[in-house]
Amino acid sequence: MELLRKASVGTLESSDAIVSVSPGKGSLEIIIESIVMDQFGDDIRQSVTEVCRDFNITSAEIHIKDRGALDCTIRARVETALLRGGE
Amino acid sequence: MFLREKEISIIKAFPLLESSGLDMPDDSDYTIGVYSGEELVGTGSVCGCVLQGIAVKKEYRGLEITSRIVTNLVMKCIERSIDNFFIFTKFTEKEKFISMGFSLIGSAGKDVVLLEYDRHGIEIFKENLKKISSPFGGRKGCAVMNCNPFTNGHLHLIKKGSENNDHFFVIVVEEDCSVFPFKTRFELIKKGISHLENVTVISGGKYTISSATFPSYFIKKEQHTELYAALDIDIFIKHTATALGINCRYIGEEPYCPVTSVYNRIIKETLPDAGIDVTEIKRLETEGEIISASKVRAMIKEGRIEETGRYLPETTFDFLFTEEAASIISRIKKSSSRH
Repeated sequence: MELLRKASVGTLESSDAIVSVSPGKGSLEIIIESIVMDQFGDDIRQSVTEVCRDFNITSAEIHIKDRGALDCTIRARVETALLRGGE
Repeated sequence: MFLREKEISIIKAFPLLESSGLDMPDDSDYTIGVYSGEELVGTGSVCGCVLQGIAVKKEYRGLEITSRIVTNLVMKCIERSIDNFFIFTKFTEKEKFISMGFSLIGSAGKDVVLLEYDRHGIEIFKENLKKISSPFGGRKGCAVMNCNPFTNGHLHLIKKGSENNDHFFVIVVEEDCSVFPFKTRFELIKKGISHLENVTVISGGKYTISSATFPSYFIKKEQHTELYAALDIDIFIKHTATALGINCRYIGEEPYCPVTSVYNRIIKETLPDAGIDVTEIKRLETEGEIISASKVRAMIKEGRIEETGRYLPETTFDFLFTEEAASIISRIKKSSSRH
């Protein structure tokens, strides 16, 4: 799948995240801001990378604003954002 | 509890804002209301790149309605491709927004704060300033200027700064609320000072007299001027001046514009405490008349372009006769605004 346009999903409510995606410049750029960055930053990055791999996305800019979302929530938000922004 | 969100007119939000001790946001271009049945229980607005007027009815607090409102406003900004946006709010409310991932960039005493959504926004701005400033040593001065357009008065102030410092930075207001667009103002300054070797012209970005840091500079409402001026200067001290390593800020004496004169007064009151000298330059006069950009615009408006020559460096004067200037001149002729 290829990312063609910007898309944003999610909320800033506690235990959720806002995921914004936009077409990249040839690589995957993942920017994470999280209230639990120290504890779970790496795990979040890992999950986002995995979802991108599943969707065959190799070029994208992905911005995560996390308010302590569970792993399943992060994955679901990223999937939805990619589906909305890509074809 | 079932809550609905919908776009409303700012007028409808007024009672709720008032009961929360908030003023009606100036110039809002999008307002949402959160309803429980027919009752408005929460509201928030977007004004350009600033979220403000966020309030929730007392009985409904603690239900994460604020995050719903902010989410809605954030999505609106993203939809509008605004790449970084701000929250302007009361000092006492700041923690709530920090926990939503906004970061604090400045405050006006214990009254109001400004937070930004992109956590890296101000850091990137500062990194860039540091890069620009690092090759230069010694005493560094700066002036923040709009130059709408660049006159001999501006040139006079920059010359003084250039003479009395090892290096001088002209920080240009980037907001495009003036009749001469940013790109033109910036180029005219650069051309007009090209003979001064120790002067660098840089962009003020979103952090120097912008609609986020200083909305009343651009809109006419003056009641909040002191607050906004203090906020803008706080950001200047904490970020811009620190990154550039500024020792002295130059300001032009301001006999006409009430907003700028309040701004100058607060600069004189606050910067010395932060270890930055302030030098106020008296207005340059020519044939007994004070030079000002607003005078130049007034002359253009009256069709007396030839006469502006005595106020302008050749570079600005020549520009007025180019094709690019034609549309600016016709806008000046139609406009009645002070910018």
